[in-house]
Order: sequence, then C-alpha cells, then structure tokens
Amino acid sequence: MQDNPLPEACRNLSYIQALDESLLLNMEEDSRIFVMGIGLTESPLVYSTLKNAAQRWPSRILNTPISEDALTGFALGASLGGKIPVTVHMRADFMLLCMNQLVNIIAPYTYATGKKTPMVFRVIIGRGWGQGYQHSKSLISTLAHIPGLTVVAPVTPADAKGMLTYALTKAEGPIIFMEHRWLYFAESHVPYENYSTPLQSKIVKEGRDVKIMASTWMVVEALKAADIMQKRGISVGVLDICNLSHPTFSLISRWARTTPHTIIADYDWQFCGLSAELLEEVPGSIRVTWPDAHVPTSREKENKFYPNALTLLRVVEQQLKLPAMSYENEDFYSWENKFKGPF
Amino acid sequence: MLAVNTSESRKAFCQKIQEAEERIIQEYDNNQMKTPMHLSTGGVENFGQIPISVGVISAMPYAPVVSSYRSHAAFLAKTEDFTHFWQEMYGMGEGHQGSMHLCLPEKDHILSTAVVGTQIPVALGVAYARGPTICFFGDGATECGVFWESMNLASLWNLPVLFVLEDNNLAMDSIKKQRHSFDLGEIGRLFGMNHITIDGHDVETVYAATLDIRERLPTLMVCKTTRYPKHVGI
Repeated sequence: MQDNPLPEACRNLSYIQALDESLLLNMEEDSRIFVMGIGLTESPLVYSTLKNAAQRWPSRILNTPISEDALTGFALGASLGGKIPVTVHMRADFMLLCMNQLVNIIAPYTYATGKKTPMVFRVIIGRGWGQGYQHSKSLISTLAHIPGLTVVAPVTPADAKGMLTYALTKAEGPIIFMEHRWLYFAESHVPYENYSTPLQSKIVKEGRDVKIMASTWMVVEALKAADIMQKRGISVGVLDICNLSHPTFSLISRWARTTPHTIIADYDWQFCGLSAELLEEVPGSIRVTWPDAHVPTSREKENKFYPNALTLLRVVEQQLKLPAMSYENEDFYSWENKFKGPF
Repeated sequence: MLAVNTSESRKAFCQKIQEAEERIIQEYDNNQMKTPMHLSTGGVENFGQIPISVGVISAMPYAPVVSSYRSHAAFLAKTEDFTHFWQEMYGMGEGHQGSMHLCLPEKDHILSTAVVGTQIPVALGVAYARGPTICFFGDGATECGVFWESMNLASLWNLPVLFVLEDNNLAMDSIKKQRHSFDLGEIGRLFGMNHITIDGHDVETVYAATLDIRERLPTLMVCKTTRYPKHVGI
C-alpha cells in the first residue's frame, strides 16, 4: 500500500481506526460537527468507525428514521445554519433516495447564493458477499456527473484520515466520501496528529512498462497485479485517481503519457463514466470496468462480474504481447476473507 | 421586517407587495422578465395569499424563512429588498435565482425551491442549528413523501419549526378532492404536533395566530387561502 510522505510519529492503524480517529480529533476541535444516519448509535457503529466519537459525544451522533430524502435536506439546513453535518449511508445505493435534495437543491445552492455549504456524506460502496444490485453499487459516475458535488474515495488508512479531515475542515461544499467496505481492514502508517490531505490524485507506485490509473478498490487489485508482474520482470505503475469527480488531470496526463501502455481501472459501469473522461485524457488506454450488467448476488457470478488483478494481468499480457501465464499459485480476492459482514 | 409591527403597517406592506406583483402583470407582456412567475396577488378582490407571509413574518421577525417557488411575498416580507427582487425578475445583477429561487441567506430568507416540497426538510435543519424557523409550503406539498418524513422528524426531535401550510385548494389546476384521501386538519394530530387552522385571507388573523403559537413549536398552521392567478404565468 501507499506510504504518504508523512510526519515521523506514525503507527499502524486500520482504515476503520483511521476514520474513527479523524472524527474524534475534528469533533474535539470543532463543536459544529455532528454525525447522523440510520441506526448509527446501535452496534456495530458503522464497522466501529464511530466507536470513540459515539462514546465521547453521544448527543452529536443522531440515530435517524429511515427518511433519506428529508435527512439530506436537513443536512443542507443544518449546514446553512452553521453546523457541519456528516451523513452516513451504509450503502451507496441509498444515495438514490437523496438525489432530489442532492442534485436539485444542494448542488446548485452555492451557485444560486454564493453561500458555502460544507457537509460530508460518508457512503459505503462495494462488494460484500451476495449484496447484489440494490446493496453494492458504487454510483461513482452518477454522482460525479453533477456540478457542485465532489466525490472522493481514499484507499489507504492514512488518506482516509487525512481526507476526512480535509472534508471536515476545508471543504466549502458537499463532499461524497466513498468507503469501499473491504478497505476497512487495510492497514498503513498513520500519524498521530490531525492533518489534512488534499483531495487529489496520487501516484502510488512508479512503473516503466505499463501504467494503471485506478479508482477505489481497483487500486488494490492494480497493486496486486503489479507485484505479480514484477516477478516476470515487468514494471507496472499505479495511480490512485482518488478524487473521482475532479481527478488531477494535469498529474494523470503527465504521468501516463510517459509509457505507451496504459490501463484505466474503474470500479463502476463504463458508459458515460469516469473511465471515459480518463480515456479522453489518456487516449489509447484499455478500460477495465464493471460489465454493462447488474451486480449479481451469487458468488460464482460475483467473481465473473468484478474485474480483479487477474483481469488486469491479462490486459498487461496483451499490451506487451506476453504469453498468457497461469497464475494458479496466486491468491486473488484474498481480502474478502477479512470481510466479516453482514453489512 | 422589524418596522412592520402595527396593523396599519402590515396592511400597507401587503399593499406594497401586491403593487409589485401587479406591476409584474402589467409589464410581463413586454417580455423583459423571462422567468416563470408564480403569483400570490388578489388583484381587485383582496390581497390573495400575501397576508399569510406578512402576518407570519411580522409576528416572528427573528426567524429564518424557507419557502416555495410562490415566494415573492415571503421574500419581500422577510428581506424588504425590492432591489434584489427586481434584479432577479429582470435577470440582471447576479441573475442566478429568477422568480422561483428567490432568496438572500444573509438576510435570513434561506431558500426558495422550485421542486414541490423540497424546502420542508431544509427548514428542519435550520431549526436544529439555529432555533425557530418558518417554513412556507402549499397543500400540494402534503402529497410528497418528504413532507411526511419531515413531519415525523420535526415531532420526533422536537424541532422548532412553524409549518405554514398555504391551503389554496389547488395544485396547478387540480383541486384537493382529486388529490387527497386525507384531511389537512388531521395531520398535526397524527404526529402529536400542535396544529391550528385559520383564515389566511386576513393579515391580522394570521399575525395573532402566529403570536399565539410561536413559543410552542413545532406547529402546523393550516391557512385557508385563495389563489386568484394561474399556477404559473400571469
């Protein structure tokens, strides 16, 4: 995993602990911040990401009715009234219930009035087991399409902490903060102090022969593919797009154009999507995305649906005209073993 | 509108808003105001829906306001900013709002929205952050799911919102009988919320009722009123 240039005083934290720590530090510093969502105050406290915050400030964690539409408008009102609301959605799919407020009312508000609307939506995306078409979409491009919304997806615990802090302290409009549920068990060095990480794309690994630009979970798969290719003497670079609505195109373009072989790996559908925007920036790239189909519910079909490191390896082989190898000794989808469900 | 604090000044302010809307009607055909108009004027009959905005805001001048696309009266009563009003009518100045999204958050008219019902939950959030808040909406908005979500939330969390339901019996051209299986007067009771039904044609009635309930929020205040103009246009 990526190591940011970080202050020295670090220790290993999981993604869960990193989010919890960011909330704890920022709620301590800014009494305007509060968190709301369905069932939040009950176990398991959003994978324990609210554990310390809920203990410290129970009155600032609001357990809400199942009223996503009203709560999204409530978030705008609270923000305009001087608070900083953090709304948690256990599945990104539920964001579709928020779209009227989000797209019609919140997104254009600053355009209409000049007034800033800081607020965060923590949205859990991605594959569980058998969660299927109503519980495990990502909706990256659906949300990124709207002017006024910022969609980010940190991959490392260090970025999760720093980017959540950025969203809570520096953002001037709504930030949709996507958390892939398998990433909760990732670990990395995380500084003790409160720090803010800019919402920008970043190079995770340099590589000479092929370059992969990836979003959210696909960064993990790309790094796995890079490790395996290294054993074949092939050098694969990986870039974390990270800001999915406003990718750092200047960096991406400069970085990707240093090699003729580029891959775009997006954790979403392809049509009218983020991958097309990157393709325009880096022409000739091969796109690895979800198929034009619904997210399945059975294990076997899930394995066919989701692209992974093996998918990327086959593309690299084609690009470099390498013989297709068997990778049967490699361990794909191993992270799923860390996912405990049922959420 | 701190200066509008007498019976005479409330009537005069209704007149002032009415004159602004009548001027829109006179000048609309010149095609300089290219924005969909949703008027409240009573024309020659009376003040139409205008007394509701003036009466409520006059009784709670300290409270921020959210409203629907039929918001000329609420905007002018809250902000008294006729300059911004006419700039937006004519698409001058910033020109980002037009008639339907009129607001000035710095003068505490927080929001007007052009999608029925969408302003209601925003009022809840403002009330949570700041205290007593006025929320104007029509009888059509009670058909939206978000209205029921918001009534539940306001009552559950005891949020100090004055829900001002302007019941003109019309949603575009459909009357309530074609749209409602429920009685507006029953809604407050269902949620254990204070509720009152009044005649919204008389500014002093609205003013007195608002004074009476402003310390007991949330309250649903149903104001019987009449829309004389078309749904949209002049």
